[in-house]
Amino acid sequence: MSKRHLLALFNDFDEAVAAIAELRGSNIKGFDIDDMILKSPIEHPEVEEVLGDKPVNVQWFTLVGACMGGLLAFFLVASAQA
Amino acid sequence: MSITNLLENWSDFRQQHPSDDRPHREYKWAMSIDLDSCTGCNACSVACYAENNLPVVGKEKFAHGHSHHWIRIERYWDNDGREFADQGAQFLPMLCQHCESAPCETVCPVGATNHTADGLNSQVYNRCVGSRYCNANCPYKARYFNWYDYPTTDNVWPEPMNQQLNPDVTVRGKGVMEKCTFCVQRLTVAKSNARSAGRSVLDGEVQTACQQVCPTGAISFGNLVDPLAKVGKQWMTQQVELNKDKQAKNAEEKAVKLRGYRILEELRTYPSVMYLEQLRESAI
Amino acid sequence: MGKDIREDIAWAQINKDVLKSLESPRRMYWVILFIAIAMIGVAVGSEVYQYQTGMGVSNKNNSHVWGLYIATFIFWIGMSHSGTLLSAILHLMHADWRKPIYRFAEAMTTFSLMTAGLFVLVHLGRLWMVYYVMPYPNERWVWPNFQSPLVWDMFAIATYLSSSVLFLYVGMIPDLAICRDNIHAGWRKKLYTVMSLGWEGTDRQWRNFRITYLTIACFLIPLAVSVHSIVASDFAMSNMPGWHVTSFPPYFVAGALYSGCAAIITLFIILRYVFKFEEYMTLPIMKKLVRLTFAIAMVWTYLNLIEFASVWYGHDQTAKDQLIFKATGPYAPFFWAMIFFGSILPLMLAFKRFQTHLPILFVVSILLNVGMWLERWMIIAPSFAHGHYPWTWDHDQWPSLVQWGIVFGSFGWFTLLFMVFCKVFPSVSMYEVKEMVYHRSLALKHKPAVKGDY
Repeated sequence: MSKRHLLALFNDFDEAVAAIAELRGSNIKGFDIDDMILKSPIEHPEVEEVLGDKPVNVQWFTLVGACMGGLLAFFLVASAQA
Repeated sequence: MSITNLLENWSDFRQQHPSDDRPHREYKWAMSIDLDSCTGCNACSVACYAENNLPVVGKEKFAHGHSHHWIRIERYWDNDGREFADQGAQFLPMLCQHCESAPCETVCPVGATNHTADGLNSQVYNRCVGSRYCNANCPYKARYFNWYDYPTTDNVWPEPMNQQLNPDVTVRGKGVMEKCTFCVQRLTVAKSNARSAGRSVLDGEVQTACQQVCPTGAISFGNLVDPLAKVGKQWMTQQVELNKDKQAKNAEEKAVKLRGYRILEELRTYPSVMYLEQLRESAI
Repeated sequence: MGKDIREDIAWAQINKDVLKSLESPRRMYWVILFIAIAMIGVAVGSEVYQYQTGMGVSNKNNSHVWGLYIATFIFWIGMSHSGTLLSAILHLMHADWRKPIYRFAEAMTTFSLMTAGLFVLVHLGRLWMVYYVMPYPNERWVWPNFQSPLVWDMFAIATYLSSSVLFLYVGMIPDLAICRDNIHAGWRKKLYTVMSLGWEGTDRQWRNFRITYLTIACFLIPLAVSVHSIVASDFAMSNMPGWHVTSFPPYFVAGALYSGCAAIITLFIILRYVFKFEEYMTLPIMKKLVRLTFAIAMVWTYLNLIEFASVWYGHDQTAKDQLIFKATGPYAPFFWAMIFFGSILPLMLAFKRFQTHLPILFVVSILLNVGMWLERWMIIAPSFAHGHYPWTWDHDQWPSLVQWGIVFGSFGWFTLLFMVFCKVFPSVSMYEVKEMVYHRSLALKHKPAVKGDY
C-alpha cells in the first residue's frame, strides 16, 4: 500500500486544533494519530491534550547521566577524604 | 584503595583538633614566651632570617608591607596619659601560633596547609596555589606571602650572604604562602636521631632558632607530651590548658595571679604558643 | 499604564525587526569594539606583568592579601544573577513581560560569569597551578580540600556557567531556526544550521523543548541562589570581623539580583536605542523592570540594616569596631557612597515620573552598579585594615594601577562578548514575542480571557 502525505495549512490555530480533534475522533484506515505532525512557529501546550502522549526516551538518558554524575562526584569526594 | 581506607578508619577521619579522647601520642610541639624577659632586641627575628632562608626584601618593599619576618617583634605603647610610657614600649614576639584548630587549614582550597601528627601547622609550598585565603582567615596575620620571586631578585641575599643559606630549608619562589615552621627541619633531624637511639626526643635536645639566640632566654620550646619538658611545666604552672578556649583559672572568682595566656583564645584556635604577661610597675 | 506590547504586530514584522539587528554593523560598532579590545589589552598587559613579576605589583601586602580582584569577582558574579531571575523565575511565574527582554539578560548572565571566572585566575599567586583546585585522580591521591569555600566556589561557578550557557542555548534554538531559514549564504547560514539542531517546530519538538526548558529553569533557580550563597560563604565561613556574618548569603543574593537588575536596565536602554527595538522593549516593560529593581533595592537595604544591627547589638566587640572603622575610618567616603548609591538613590525609582524616563534611568542604573561595586569593595578592604589583630591596623593599602587596569579591562571583555553576541544571535526572543502577541490578541478577541492563564 502506497504511502501518502497530506499537507494542510491553517490560518487560525483554533481551526487546526479542531481539525486534529476531528481526525482523532475519526477512524481512518491506516492512519494513526502519531503519524501526524503539527508544525507551528510558536509553542501550543494546549494542543497536547488533543494529540495525546507520545513516548520520549531521551529523559531516561538524562536520568542515567545525572545518576552517574552524582555517583562519580560521591566517589571522588569520598576517596579524597582518605 | 582509598575508599577501603576510608571505611576502615572512619573514626580517624572524623577526628577533630584539639581532641580530648585522642591527644597527641609522641610529640606535641609547643612554645612559651616570657614577655617579662623579652627586651625586644630582635635577635630571634634575625636568627629566623638566617635559619629559614627568609628573603630580605629591602626598605622600600618593607614599607609596602611585603616583609617576611616569620617572627616579628611588635611594640605596644601604654602611655597612660603621659608623654612617654614610663618603662618604654612593651614587646611581643609574634609568630605562627601553630593552632590546634587552625583557621588557615580549613579554608585552603588545595589542602596545602595541614596539621601534622606532631601538632604542627605545616605548609606545603609545592602544593600552594597562592589564593591567600589562609592569610585572610588567620587572626594573627602570621603568614607571609611571596609577593615577588625573591630568590631571583637582586640584593635579597647579597654576596656573601648567599653563602649562608641553610641547605636544609628550601627557598620559596613567587606566589606561595610561608610562615613559621617551628624549625621543622631541626625537629625532623632530632626525631630521626632519637628514633635511631630508640628513645624520644629529650627536652632541650632540639631548639628553635629563635629560642637558641634569645639572650634572655625568654622563649622555651619543647614537647608538651613529655612530662619532663620545661615548656610543659610552664604551661602547667600557669594553668594554661591546650584544649580549652577559656582557661579555668580565669573563671575563678579571685582570678589566680598567673601570667600565662594565649592570644585570641576566644576564637577557638587553640594556639600552641603561651605568652607570659609582662609585669609592669604600674600594674603592681 | 500602556500595553506591554502591541497585539497587532505581524509575525513577519517581528522576524524582520529582530533579524535586522544581525545585519552588518555600522561604523560606530567597530569603534566601540576597538575600544573594548583596547581595554582588554590593558588588562592583558597588566596580567602578563603581574604573572611575570609576582603579585606584589598589585600593591597588596601581607595584611591586605585580597583586593580589587576578589571585590570585582563578586561584582561580576552578582551581575550574572538577574538573567536567571528574569528568565527562570519569571518564566515559572508566567510573567510574560519578560519575553522581549530575557534573551539579552541571559547573555549578560553568561558573559558576566565568564568575566568573573577570570578574576579568580588573576587573583591566584600561582596561576600555573590552578588545576590543583580541581579533583582529578592522580598517583599520589592528593585531592583539593573539600572543606574550603573556595573549592565550593569552583564547583558552583562551573556548574552555574555550564547550566546558564545551556539555558541560553536551549531557549534560542527556535530562533536560530528562524535565522537559518532567513539567511541564505555565508558562515552564518552554516552556523545557524548546525546550532538550530534541525528545528522544524513540530509538535513533538515543541513538547520536548518545553519540558527541557522548564527543567533547566527549575534547576537554575536553586543553583543561582546557592552560587551566591557560596560566594558569601567565602566570607561568612571565615573568622574575620566584618565577614563573619550569618546573614551574608541572603545579603549577597539580594545584592546580586540588585546589581543584575540595574545592569539589565542599562543594557535595555542601550539595545532599545541602538537596534530601535521600541516596539518590543517598551516603556511599560521598563516600568515593571524598574519596580522590580526598586523592590530588590529595598530588600538589599533591609538586609544591610540587619547586618549593621546584628553587629551593633551583638557581643562581638571586634566586629563592632570594624563597623565603626568602616563608617569613620579612611574608607568612610566609599562606605557612605555605597549607602547613598545603594539605598538612597534607588528611592528615586519609586516615583512614577522617573520610572520611564530613559536618560535618567540610564544614569541611575549605572550609579546603582557603582554603588554595588563599592559594596563589594567595602566588604573586602576594611576587614583587612582593621582585623582581629592590632598589627594590621595601621597598614595602608591602595590598589596599584595593575589592579585597576585589570578591573578596567574586565569591562572591555564583557562589552566585547556582549557586542559579538548581539550581532551573531538574536537579542530579542522572536518566537516568544510572537507567543506574547498571539496570546494577548486572543485575550483581546474573546473577552474575558479564556485561553489559559497566559
